[in-house]
Amino acid sequence: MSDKKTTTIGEDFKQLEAIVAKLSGEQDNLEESIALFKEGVRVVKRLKAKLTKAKVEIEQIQSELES
Amino acid sequence: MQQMDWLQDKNQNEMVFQVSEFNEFINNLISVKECVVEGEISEINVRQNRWVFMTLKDPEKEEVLNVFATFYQVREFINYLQVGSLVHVYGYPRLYGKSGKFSLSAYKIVPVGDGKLMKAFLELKAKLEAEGLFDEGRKRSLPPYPARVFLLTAPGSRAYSDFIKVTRERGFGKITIYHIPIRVQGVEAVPSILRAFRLVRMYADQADLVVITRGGGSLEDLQAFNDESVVRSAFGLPIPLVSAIGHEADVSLVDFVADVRASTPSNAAEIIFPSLSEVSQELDLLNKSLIYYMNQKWQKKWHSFIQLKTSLVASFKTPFDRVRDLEIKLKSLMEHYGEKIKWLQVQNKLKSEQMNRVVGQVLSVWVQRWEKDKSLLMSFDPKAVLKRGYSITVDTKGGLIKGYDQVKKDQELITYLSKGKIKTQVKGVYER
Repeated sequence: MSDKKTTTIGEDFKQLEAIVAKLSGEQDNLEESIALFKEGVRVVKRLKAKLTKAKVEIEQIQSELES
Repeated sequence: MQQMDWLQDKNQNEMVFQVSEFNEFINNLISVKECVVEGEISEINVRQNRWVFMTLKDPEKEEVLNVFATFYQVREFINYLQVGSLVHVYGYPRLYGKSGKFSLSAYKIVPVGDGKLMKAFLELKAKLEAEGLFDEGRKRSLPPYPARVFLLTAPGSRAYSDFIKVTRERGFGKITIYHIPIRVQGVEAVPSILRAFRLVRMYADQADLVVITRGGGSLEDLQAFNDESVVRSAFGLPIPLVSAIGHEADVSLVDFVADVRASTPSNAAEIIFPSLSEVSQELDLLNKSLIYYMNQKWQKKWHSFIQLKTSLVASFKTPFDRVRDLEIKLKSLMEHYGEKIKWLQVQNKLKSEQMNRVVGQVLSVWVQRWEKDKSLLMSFDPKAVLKRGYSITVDTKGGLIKGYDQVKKDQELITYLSKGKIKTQVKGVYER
């Protein structure tokens, strides 16, 4: 679960889904919950950056195609 | 008579004919008589869907006759007017001034049966068709942007130059044409075509498709392309075959076996090579759909991302959250029960009111009855009766006297009045 390893958008989605599933379940340990939540927020940031980058790339290609 | 006068006039003045005058003169001489000519169509061309040019020949002799008609006049049987068809042409002889050609100007052409060549052609066609050589299902589509093409045609022919010319006009990028020369008519034609197809099979990986083409001609001219061995050899080539044998109206068996049939050599090039405008149009369309799908895909990802983000925040719960959740739950429960209790109270109140009302009603009924009974009772009070002037008589023992038979003469009675009593002695007893 480290950021150093580059993950694909699909992998990030899967990871985030897994975290959400865990957090939604019964979770008595607060420390664990916080750690999971932190990890989730990290993945959200990473995924958002990737998706934004993809959008920019798409727009770039689009403008190249249309020019 | 008039034209004879005119002729005499010409002769008298020893004038020389102008060409147009002469043609007109000849036409005046020959076009008076309507004729019917029987012959086999050896060539037929339809131009702009308006004019029909045909060459008619005798089945056995090498004599030909040009026939001209408007498409409109012969449209009734146009589908039966094929090379080799035996027809009756109704028309007038005519010399066409502009070409100096003599023709039969037809107003009606009626097919009367198939010529010999046509019969053989149709028989072979039926046979090969039955074997499945012409099946539509096995026809392949052409590669969209072919770069290497085998061209099978006569060297230096019109078909060759037409094909190359259109390819140059339309084609872009690097296109390589491998010309395999063939003889398109005569005794050498069949072996040369067979050899060319062998080469195509051998070097099939060197090209994307193969074109076989020649210009228009009579059924005799196209004979090599109706040869059984040629047709069989053209069947099932490793790469798609485009055929353009003759002109629009000409049909050969190679055309049937080919994957794609073009009407002319130029048309073959048009079919094979997309024009720059066609390609750019297609590219434009591709661009648009590319952008569309790309954006759509991204939108979908983004949407699920936002959803996940929201559910992440929602799913994270500290014990405080849990306590708060419980509190909320409890509160809502209490509210729920509070409401219920309130409701019950209201119901209760309603009930007791109802009860009171019922009891009241019953009571009032009783009270009313009691009141009635009371007054009735009151009316029975003997004192009240005495007050009205009546009296009560009793014997000395207090027995109530109601009739004459209860008393005897000299018996003592006591009569009670409203005020006081009287002691009496009976003097007589009478029934009436």
